[in-house]
Amino acid sequence: MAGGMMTAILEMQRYTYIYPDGTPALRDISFQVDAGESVGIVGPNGAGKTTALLGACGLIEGAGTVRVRGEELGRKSYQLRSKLGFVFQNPDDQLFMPTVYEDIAFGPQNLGQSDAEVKQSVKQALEAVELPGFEEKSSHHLSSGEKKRIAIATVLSMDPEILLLDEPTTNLDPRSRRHLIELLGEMSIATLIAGHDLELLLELSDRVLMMNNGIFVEEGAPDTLFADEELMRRNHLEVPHSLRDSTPINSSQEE
Amino acid sequence: MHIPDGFLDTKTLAITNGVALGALYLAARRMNAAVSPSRIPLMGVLAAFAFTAQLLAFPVIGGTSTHIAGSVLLAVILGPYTAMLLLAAIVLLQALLFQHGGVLTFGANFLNIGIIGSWLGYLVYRLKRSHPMAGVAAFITVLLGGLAAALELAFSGRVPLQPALVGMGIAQIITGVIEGFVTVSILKVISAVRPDLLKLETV
Amino acid sequence: MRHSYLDKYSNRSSPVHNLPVPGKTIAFLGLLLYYAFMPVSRGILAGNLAGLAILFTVARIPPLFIIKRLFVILPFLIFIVFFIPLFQGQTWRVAGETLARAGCSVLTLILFTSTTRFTHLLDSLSRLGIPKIIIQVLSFIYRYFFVLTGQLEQMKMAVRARAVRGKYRFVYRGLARMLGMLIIRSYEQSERVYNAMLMRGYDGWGNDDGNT
Repeated sequence: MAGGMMTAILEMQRYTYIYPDGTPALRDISFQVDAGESVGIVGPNGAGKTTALLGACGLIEGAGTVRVRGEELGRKSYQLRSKLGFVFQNPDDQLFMPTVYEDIAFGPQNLGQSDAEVKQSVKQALEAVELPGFEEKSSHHLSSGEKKRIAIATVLSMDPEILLLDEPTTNLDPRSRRHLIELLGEMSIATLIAGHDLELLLELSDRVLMMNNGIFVEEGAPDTLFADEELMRRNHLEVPHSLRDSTPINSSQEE
Repeated sequence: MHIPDGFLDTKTLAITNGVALGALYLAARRMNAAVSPSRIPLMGVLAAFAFTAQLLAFPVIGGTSTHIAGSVLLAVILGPYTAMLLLAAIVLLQALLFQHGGVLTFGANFLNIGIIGSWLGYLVYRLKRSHPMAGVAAFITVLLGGLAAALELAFSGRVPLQPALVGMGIAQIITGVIEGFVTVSILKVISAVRPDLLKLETV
Repeated sequence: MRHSYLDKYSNRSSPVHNLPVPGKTIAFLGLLLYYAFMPVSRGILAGNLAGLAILFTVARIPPLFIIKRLFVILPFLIFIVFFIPLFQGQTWRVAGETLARAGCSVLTLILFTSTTRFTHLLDSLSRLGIPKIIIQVLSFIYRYFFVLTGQLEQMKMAVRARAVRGKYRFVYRGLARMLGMLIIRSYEQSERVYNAMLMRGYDGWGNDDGNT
């Protein structure tokens, strides 16, 4: 994808990451996410999806460049990293404070906001995830859907430029999943979603990157990519249900 | 053996709390200099682990059950000063949330479980630095910790010394064996699955 | 091992719950000290218990809850109470006094913790001079206790589904193995938690916030 470097929120260039035991996880990958774009990353287990997100956030030490709004992201770029809102697969990994308020406040406090500003940031973040008034609750009293939304709130409170979500619909019941999809759909912020929930990506993504074995094998619009049965099969994926009826496999006539 | 409030007299409370606070002060000083911020979540979650594990009931004879402390395990993984700090938090929280042990008797309980448990346990472990040695250390610290509790109670005039030592000693032998066995087992599992957990910097 | 009882009543509202925390903490500590020194007599004991009963009622803490919590020190109490008088040199008086002091202390402790939110508890401890690192550890213990207990329950169910009640050796080995896996999961989770903290600007002692 040429051009648009000035508007790219996140950019990874020729990024390679090798596990301590020598196996390559990411091999010379490059991609970017522009302002307001919603990009998906799909691929079988072990393809490197989560690793790609970790690399984008500067949480692992790989070779290559990561840029956020044009600025290079290093291990110690604390302020810059706060522009990336990483939502972990398991909310318990990022809800580590006794109350919801303290969890959502953690980021703003580290950014040096005053108490009044922090309070405001928390309130706004809770409103953005449609859980106003949840400040005093404790995480262990929340349902999985609520936890997921609070987890999102903990990074939203830092006013990020892009949300990165790792398998966001894991462990969500259908109603919570629907809520989440609606919530993400309403956000104007750029998003990068890695996962197996192809239906979600069909609904939300402008563009999808297909990953296998640490490299991007294909890129395109989700409904085009996911309907390609041969491509999906080659990459150990299945065509999602909603696309199956419209995929003429062996039929020579139309309904 | 967590001693509740009311079971120790003033002088014992003063001595045990004094020793406890002194030890904690030393540990905190040692750690301020050495510990990097990345250790905090590790310490916190492992402390949560020990706290949770201490609630697990291991059946003994009849309907009785006993509990393990994990003091030596923590000391082996994180080092004696860190383990002491974590056990201080654990003992305090057990007192506050579960009434396992009292608030004024914190010093005594921390002494028995944290200082004897971790610090002394680590010294024993250091003699050989092997899994079996850790098990031996665990056994010894459980026994000594129990005897210390008996001493504290006797010193406070609540129980006669000799019967207390004998009774506690016998009870703690069983608990000690279990603690030793479990400590070694856990270390074996860690070695097999995530050996790097045993190669962390110890403070 | 139901763990909801940890917080069951501490987030409610009542005149006792709503007392300003610093004052409440000092009063609480004061009472504990008082129990250690008070002359034990029937009158004083009755007075203490009556006072506590009133406070418990105002705070709307159910008696059953209190009794269940009292069960914790019961074995210890029984041990001491019956153990002491059986041997020469000790009297029922010592046993009775110990019981009185311990009982009042435990009840007051239950009252305090069941009417105080955990975060406020941590605030009090912080104000009392307890070092920040211990406060942080306490915070983590409280938060992850529920996560770990949940994981432990799942493991136990999985084992129960497969195992027959076996000899002690097998039970211990099973429990030990579960704990081994649990500690590894805890370790791995702590790595992810650290990453989550980094993403939210955590870069060390100075930048991390200990107060709310």
